[in-house]
Amino acid sequence: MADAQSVIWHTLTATPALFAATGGVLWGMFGGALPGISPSIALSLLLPLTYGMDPATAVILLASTYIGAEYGGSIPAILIRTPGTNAAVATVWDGYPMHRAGLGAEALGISLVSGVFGGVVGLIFLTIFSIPASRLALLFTPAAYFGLGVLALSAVVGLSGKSRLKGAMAVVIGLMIGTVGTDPLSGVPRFTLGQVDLLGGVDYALIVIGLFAVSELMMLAASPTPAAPKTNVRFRPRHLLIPRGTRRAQMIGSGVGLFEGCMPGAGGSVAAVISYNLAKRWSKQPCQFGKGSPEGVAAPEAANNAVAYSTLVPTLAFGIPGSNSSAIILAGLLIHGIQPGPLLAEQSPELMLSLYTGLALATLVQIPLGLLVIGPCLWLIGRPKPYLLTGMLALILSGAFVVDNSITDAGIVLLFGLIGYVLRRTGFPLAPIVIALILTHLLESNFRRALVLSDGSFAVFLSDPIAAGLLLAAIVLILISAIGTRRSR
Amino acid sequence: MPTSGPTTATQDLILALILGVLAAGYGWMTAGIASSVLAGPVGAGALPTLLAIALGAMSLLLLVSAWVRWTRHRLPSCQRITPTIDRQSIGSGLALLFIGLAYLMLLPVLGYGISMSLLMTASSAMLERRLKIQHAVYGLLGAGTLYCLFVLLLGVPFPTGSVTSQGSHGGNAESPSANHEIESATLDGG
Repeated sequence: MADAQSVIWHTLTATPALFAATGGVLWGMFGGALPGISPSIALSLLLPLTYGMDPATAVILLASTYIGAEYGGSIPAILIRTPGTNAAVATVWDGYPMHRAGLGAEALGISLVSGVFGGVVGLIFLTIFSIPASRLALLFTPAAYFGLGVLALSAVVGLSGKSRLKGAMAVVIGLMIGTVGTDPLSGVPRFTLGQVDLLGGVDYALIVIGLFAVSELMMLAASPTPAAPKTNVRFRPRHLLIPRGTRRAQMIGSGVGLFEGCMPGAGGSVAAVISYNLAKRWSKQPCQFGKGSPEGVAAPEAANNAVAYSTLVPTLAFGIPGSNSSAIILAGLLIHGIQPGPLLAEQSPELMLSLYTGLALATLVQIPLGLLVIGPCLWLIGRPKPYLLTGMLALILSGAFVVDNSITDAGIVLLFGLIGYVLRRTGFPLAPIVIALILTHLLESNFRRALVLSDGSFAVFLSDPIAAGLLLAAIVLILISAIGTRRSR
Repeated sequence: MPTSGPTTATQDLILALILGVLAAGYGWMTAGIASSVLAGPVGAGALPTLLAIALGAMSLLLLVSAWVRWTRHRLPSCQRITPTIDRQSIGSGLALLFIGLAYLMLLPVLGYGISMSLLMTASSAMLERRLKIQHAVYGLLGAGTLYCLFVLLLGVPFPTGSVTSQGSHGGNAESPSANHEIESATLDGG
């Protein structure tokens, strides 16, 4: 206990955790507020800058950015009816009607307070359950890990939008990119084309920046976006005193967020929509939903903020990312040589404690920063698109060079940007590529280790009860999503 | 975003063919993976082989489904509607990429500051479809800000460029704190 206190004190006083948390939340809020810049893009732009940091600071910065982006997305959703992030779509439904009714500041207050409420619940959940989940992960054999990886990928495919075939193809493409480099068991080089630089595989950061950020820039450049309408709102501390009636919606949102965050592939947008529907169903005034109900703002905002924390439970305990944003956080850990999994809590307890401390700081600084950023965010949203896109392109290309001080790396980023652009225009989801890429090592090495341990017998995947259960769940998930697709047709 | 009907079907047909070729190429390269006694019962080529087969099979499935949709939506030539792809808007996306590529080619020659300033001027002018003095001012200010952030503050050894460094006797990396990394930056830049 004394050790834990000293680690927390050390994090607060002797490391740049406060700066990382504040900077991350601020960057996330601005990134989230800009329509088209999802949390994953805000994270991917930041990823190269974390190379020179110590692992704890880097992960605090990334996680804080994710947290900030979830609130930032609600600012344009409420004020200009344009969700800054996918997770803020449900916030538009009641946030904008509130703003039209002259209650924009109140809606922003509800969004901020509900987000912080969801964040506190999420942080408690993360603190309580990440270590038990790690202990649970110790029971996992290589066969069970393989089953878990397959379940995660099948969930990602199941939630990959209209075309599950394209989702499955995206997963295979991600796994293919993941096989470039040295074979994890034998050390044999694969698909390196004789290039020494490729022995360690293609850098996650370059792929993430290219696929998400560059392709999004190209999409934005290709889409004529009307100028954001001018709006003005005075957001004052008194607006943080939100109606009591929203408490139930906040609890519903937080509960849904905790659950959805642990599900691979679900993410904040699914949680926000589900919590909105549940809050409406259990509300005393369901007819107010869609017309400016404070509960309609509170539920999705609590949900998408709770997801930002709870998604770290499977990420840290099993090395399985719950969403594309947590996949980027996971990539940030892997870049620093930290392998998430059951041994993380035992081998790096300081890192876990520093992360919790940093997240607590990020949660707290959300309130003052949330009050301060409204004006600058609105100013930024109103800037002409050419200048915003140009600034982002400059930042991406500079950041890509930072990864390994190499112009070739920046070229790889542009190449993956082009690939991402083509895939997006043809309706391919990009998140499965990144999640599969990050899971390749876990899947392949555990599959082959299981076979080594069983002398080559594939029966090991059926005889291990956890592995069999997870593989069965994966099959059921695929069948359910296939039936759902057929019914929707 | 893709439009529905024949346009999407045509896109899917092309994409299925590209991914089919990718699967074949990847599968062909899989055969070249060296065997090792340490690789376990299935070997280092097992997963790649499985992935090549899976992508090939799924490409075939996409090809067939796109073909069926394409033939169903095919109309007599008099009723055919031109696909609603906005070529100009796609051009903007690709032009942005080419400007980025041009910047990377100019970086070792002109150095970070000048190339970045040109990149910002060119891309903002391209996106607004005309060149104004504001674009050049924005390029200069933006490049200056990024120079301060990356070179002066973070010490990233961006190349100073072969043209600009000819007259100077200092190092050929922009960071004052990164003289030891000059050679690697020049190599990368070259």
